Amino acid sequence: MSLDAFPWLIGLSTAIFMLGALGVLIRRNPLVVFMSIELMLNAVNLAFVTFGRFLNSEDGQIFAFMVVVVAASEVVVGLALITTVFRTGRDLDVDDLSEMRE
Amino acid sequence: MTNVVLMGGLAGALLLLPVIGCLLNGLLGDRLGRRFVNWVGPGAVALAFVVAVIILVQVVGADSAHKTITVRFWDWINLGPNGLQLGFDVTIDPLTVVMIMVITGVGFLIHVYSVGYMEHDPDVARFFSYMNLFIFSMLLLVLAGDMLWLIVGWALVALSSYLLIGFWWRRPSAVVAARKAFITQVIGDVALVIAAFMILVNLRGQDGRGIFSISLPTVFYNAQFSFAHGSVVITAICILLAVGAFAKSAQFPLHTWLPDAMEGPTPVSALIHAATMVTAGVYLIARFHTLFDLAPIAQGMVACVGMGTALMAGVIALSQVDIKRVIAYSTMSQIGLMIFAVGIGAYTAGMFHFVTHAVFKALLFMAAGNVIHAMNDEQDIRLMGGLGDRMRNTERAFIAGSLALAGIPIFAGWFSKEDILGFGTVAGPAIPALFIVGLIVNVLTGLYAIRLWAVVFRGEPQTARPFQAHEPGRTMLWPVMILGGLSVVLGIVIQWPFQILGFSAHFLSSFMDPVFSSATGVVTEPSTFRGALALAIGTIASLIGVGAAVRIWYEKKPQAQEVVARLPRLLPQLSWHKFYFDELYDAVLVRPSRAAASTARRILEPRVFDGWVRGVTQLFADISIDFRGVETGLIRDYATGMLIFAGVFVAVGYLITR
Amino acid sequence: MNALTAIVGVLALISAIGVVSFRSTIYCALSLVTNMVFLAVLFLLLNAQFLAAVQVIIYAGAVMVLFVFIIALLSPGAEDTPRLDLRFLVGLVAVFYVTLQIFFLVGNGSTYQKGAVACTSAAQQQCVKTPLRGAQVGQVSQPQQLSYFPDDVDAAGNVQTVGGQLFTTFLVPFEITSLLLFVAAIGAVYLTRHHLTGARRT
Repeated sequence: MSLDAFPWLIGLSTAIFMLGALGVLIRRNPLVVFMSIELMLNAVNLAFVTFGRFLNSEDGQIFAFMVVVVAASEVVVGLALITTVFRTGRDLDVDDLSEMRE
Repeated sequence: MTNVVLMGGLAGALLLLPVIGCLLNGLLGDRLGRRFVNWVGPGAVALAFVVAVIILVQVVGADSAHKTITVRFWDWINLGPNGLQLGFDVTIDPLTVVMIMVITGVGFLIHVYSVGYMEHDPDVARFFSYMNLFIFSMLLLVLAGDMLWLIVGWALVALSSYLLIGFWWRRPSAVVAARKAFITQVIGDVALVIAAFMILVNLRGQDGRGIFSISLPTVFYNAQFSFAHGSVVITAICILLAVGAFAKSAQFPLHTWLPDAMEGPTPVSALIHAATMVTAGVYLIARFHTLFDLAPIAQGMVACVGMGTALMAGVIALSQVDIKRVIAYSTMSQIGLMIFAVGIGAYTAGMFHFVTHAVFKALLFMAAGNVIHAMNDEQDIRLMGGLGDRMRNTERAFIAGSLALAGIPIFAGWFSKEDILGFGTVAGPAIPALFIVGLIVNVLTGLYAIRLWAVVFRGEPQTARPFQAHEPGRTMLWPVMILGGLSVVLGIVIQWPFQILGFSAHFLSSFMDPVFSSATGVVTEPSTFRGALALAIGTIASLIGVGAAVRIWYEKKPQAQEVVARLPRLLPQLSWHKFYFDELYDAVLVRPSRAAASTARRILEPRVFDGWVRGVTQLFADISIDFRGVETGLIRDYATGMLIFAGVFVAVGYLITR
Repeated sequence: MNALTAIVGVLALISAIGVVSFRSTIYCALSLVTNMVFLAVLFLLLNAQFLAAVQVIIYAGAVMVLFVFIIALLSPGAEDTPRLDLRFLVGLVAVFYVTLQIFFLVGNGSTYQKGAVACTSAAQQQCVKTPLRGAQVGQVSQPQQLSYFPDDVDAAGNVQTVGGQLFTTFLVPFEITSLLLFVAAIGAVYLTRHHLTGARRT
């Protein structure tokens, strides 16, 4: 594709990223929060690949690959955590898990 | 040169002996006991007296060119001939010798007296330590050849007086009195320091270049090149010096501390408030005569203040009922005469009176101490009476001293007082007025001196206490007797070898001639006729006073007492209330200061200063509390923060890359 | 910009909105899956075939399956209506602002050289050829020097080029990521194990 698609694709990536951030902000279910994080990672992948394509560098795809691996391992650990929390019988609400408060 | 070394060594010894005594008494006295202190205290002063005699011999024997010796012990700051120069100098000349003889001689007798007086006091080691410190301070003051050290000695004297007046510190009145004395003298200290600075800044040499030195010989030599006669600068300097002298010598208006200073032990009153410290002001003006001669206005002021104080103190002394206070006001009055003398330029006359006054005033105080001791620490003369029969020797000495004070012929005080009054007739246009005031002072002096004697020693005992009075022991009696004898013969000894009627010529004056001969303001001798006339009138005035007192208080003639009772109410009122000076100072100085301090404490401190400091801390605490609100513990809030800052970074990136 | 790119882009956006909007958790998960698929298509259009495959297999196929399993097991249920509080407003503002800002930045060429022309092949005049290492190692059939240019990569094959890079230049990161996966697996097993004493907390 030609160069003029470039800003649109980056804009799309940014939009999806910010939507993921919005999701992290306003959703209370930790699973959905997690999914929003995944959304953000996907958006970043798109940005990487787009840049790689239009700047003629292979490194974009490589890095996107690394992101996928990291996302996968993060999901594993995160879901294990959520499962543990669920097992203690607490409500699945992010607002209740506020032990870090001063 | 060996002379300089010898004199330097002697001066050093003179200064060191009391210091050693002070340290020994202070540090070891408590441990080594009363006997140790009783020997070391007076002993240090005795040795100092011996050294002083040696110095006297040296100075007398020296030829006229070497009468004044300045020894520089060490250079502290020396930045060249036109830079700042400060060093520890000692000046020894006849004036110094007179002072140190009196200080150590009379001081020694008072120390001996103190041995007996403080017999039952547990703090005797501290007492002698302070007394020795005082002797040292006074010696430093008179020996100092550099104004810096004079000021140091000046301040140390004030300190010693504070320590000694407040010696019985468990008594609140003593503490207050000591504070009052010290604060008043600090005013004088400040004036003295400012004067020193002014001299330092304005001193010029013959070539017109500035000399930054306050070494006394340098100052006096170069004064003629630096200050124009009668200029504002020198007048200001001399007025400041005079203020310093007034503070130290308890002259108006800085006189209120002296009567209260009687809270200290009687030997302290004898030493400090009769013989030595209060005369430091006289010494200062005499020493700085070169400068005073250049400022006639200052001289006039000094003379007026001196005579005015003499009059005022005489009036007050007439109505006081505390034996020590009467003598204190008498001191104030006589020093007023001395100040008057040095104010009109009769320096040798003033110093002569200083010598005789030291003798008979110390005597009077010590005799009063004997009386107080005998009366079991009672000082009110209205409760005394008839003590003469029980304390014969003390009474005799007291009479000798009182007659000397009153200026009765052949007693010591007569010679010196008439000397002053003789000069008073010739100096300046306004001076005959002061001469007449001096006559009134003579009358008053006779009045109160004989009144005191009559009320205390004669008449019937007014209470039970005088009945058991008795003479004190040797240590308290002998100094009194010695001084009693001296007050009879001293005048004759000093004056007789010359001429009885040669007023200004006496041993002291010829001795001190080299010091004052260069003074341009020295008043010329009165002619023989004038002098004789003044002598006669002055003597008659004194006799009138004495006679009137005898009639009123000794013989208790009713007509005389009627006259006294008929006096307008005002005069006794003023006299009794000491001319309301204490009340005046209280209202003008003390109350506003207290009010200001109280306001500061109540309002300024908590609201302004404390408030600001606490306000700052409160501000920080509040800020930190507000910041802590960010940590809600909710992940979502933290994420919000991150998002906001991500947006900020984007914006910044845009701005940068634009 | 051809029509396919536009349509797929819009659909990806819609599914992303869906992820954050649906009340029910499972709908969110399914939206995410569709989003990933659309992104995979975009990757294809961007000449990243290998990555597109990886996206579908690993991301949509493994990670999302995990998600769906957990949702099914835990049955978290629906949320209440979200409060439109300050956070929401801040997020909304941020979404719009950042998107538009970045779009303009990129559109003005802030992120790359303005005068650059996208080179599709080394044969073009101004395009410099740099050797494609992976192609050499991978015993590519084309003996000549290849470049990163899309047309040349097309010719050589995307998988070969990516694989070549992965196992030569980026070998260390690759090994580290395998270690990372290993650690994650251990962690997950540890976190969720049952205690041998058995007492299962409710």
